Amino acid sequence: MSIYIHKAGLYSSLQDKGRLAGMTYGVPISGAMDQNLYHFTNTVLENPADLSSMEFYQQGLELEFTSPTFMCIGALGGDFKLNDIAVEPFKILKIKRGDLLKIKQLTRGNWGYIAVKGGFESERPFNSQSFYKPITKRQFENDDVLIYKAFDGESGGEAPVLDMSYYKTSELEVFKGPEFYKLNHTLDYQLKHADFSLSRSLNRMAYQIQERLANDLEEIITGPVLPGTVQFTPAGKMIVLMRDAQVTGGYPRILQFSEKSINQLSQMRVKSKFTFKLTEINSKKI
Amino acid sequence: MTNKSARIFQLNECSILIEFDREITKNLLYFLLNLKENIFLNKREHILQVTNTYNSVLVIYKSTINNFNSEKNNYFELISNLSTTDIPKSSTRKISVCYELDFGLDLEEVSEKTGLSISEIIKRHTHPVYTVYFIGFLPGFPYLGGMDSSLFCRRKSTPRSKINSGSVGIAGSQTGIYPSSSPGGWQIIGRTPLSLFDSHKTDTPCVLSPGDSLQFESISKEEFDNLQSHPSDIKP
Repeated sequence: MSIYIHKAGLYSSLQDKGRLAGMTYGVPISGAMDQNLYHFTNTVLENPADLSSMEFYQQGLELEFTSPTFMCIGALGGDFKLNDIAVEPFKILKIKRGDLLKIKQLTRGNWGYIAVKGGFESERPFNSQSFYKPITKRQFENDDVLIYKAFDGESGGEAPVLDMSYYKTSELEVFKGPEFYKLNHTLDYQLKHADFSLSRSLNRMAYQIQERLANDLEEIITGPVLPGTVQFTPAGKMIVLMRDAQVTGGYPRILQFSEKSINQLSQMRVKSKFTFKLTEINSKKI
Repeated sequence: MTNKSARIFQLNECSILIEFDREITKNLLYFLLNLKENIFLNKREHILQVTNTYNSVLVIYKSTINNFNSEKNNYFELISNLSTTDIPKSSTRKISVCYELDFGLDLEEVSEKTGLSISEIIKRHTHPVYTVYFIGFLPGFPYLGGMDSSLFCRRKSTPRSKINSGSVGIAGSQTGIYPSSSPGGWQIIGRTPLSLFDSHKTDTPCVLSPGDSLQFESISKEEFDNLQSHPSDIKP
């Protein structure tokens, strides 16, 4: 009743919607980097959208299933083989004992998800299975075992289709951050009109933007931050906090990504270009 | 508390930030803790979490906030009706720290930067009663207020890639304790054998909570080793 991990790949971990219960103890929210893709992958299997899923980064996984289940790969594009036969993402794949899944690489996006019918079993500190050291282990390693309940029933039939246009934009929706009002006209103009690109520094804690802007703002008194908060460092770097970000920070918070744009950014690769679309947060009223 | 000092800001689709443009004091801290409790009581059905820092409260809702202006008015009303809280008398917890150079890796640098001798640094660091303002940065990391201003010292120009758990550090006007090993730029002046965070105790994972009072007491390397090998001897 498990997946035996022959090759764990890079930064593979168990993720779900994340945990808010630990924030007052300094525990990050965590959760799947791309919540949209993670939810969708569960939906394909007719799982509740917030069941835990295995998240992986770009390449190099080899997983053996020891019990029957239904499995779905959530990924924007890549090279996936089940028992050496090519398989597609977002399909309901019937798994039997001994099946071997090989993920060579993702051809689009950074993060992919492997969901099974009924989700995975693991400890739930602060009401979430998301990995975050020192609350849980940091990431999967070769020869680890991931438990799930065997499922031998019928599949739900036709799988829904992911709206890929969600990921085709290079315009990322942002709101004004708490310190935006302190920016001078030049910075205000640059943020609204310039092209930006992603640096090499991308991880579950933060994505750094390559371009630097002149920063004459003072540091702030340490205050609350959230995934999607854009911190502006004294050296002029912009750091977009991601799911494993600390819960407090001392750099000016100049922008705030929307939940949708955090998901979009999470899948952008090094050197990807984008612009900010500054939106009034209250204009989003439903 | 007057409304004038409060700024109420929608941070993202589901969160509201309430920030006070006031001097950081224990009075403000107890006001914020009181405000947090009242928000929990009034809005329990609609919110997931309320956190505080030195001068802010963050409220995270269960779903998208559709009527920010009405929420904002509710908060202004709550703030103006909330009386300033008396500071409760709490006992002061003693935290043992070994300030020997094996652990106080930056004592010499702090001495150079502050112009104080190492023994004077230890004396001034162990003298005040500190207040825990909030927990952030790392799980269980306490942000403490009340440090002697003569100990204010800038962070290291190049952060260390690893600081051991229990390390006691100074950064600017702040002092704190690393509850787990982590990279960091604080000036390290000692180490405590006390374990500050245990994720298995999900109801009370942190030894320290906002509002607690504490004082550091200097111990020898021998006492440190004894306490580390017999953690049950550490006073609760």
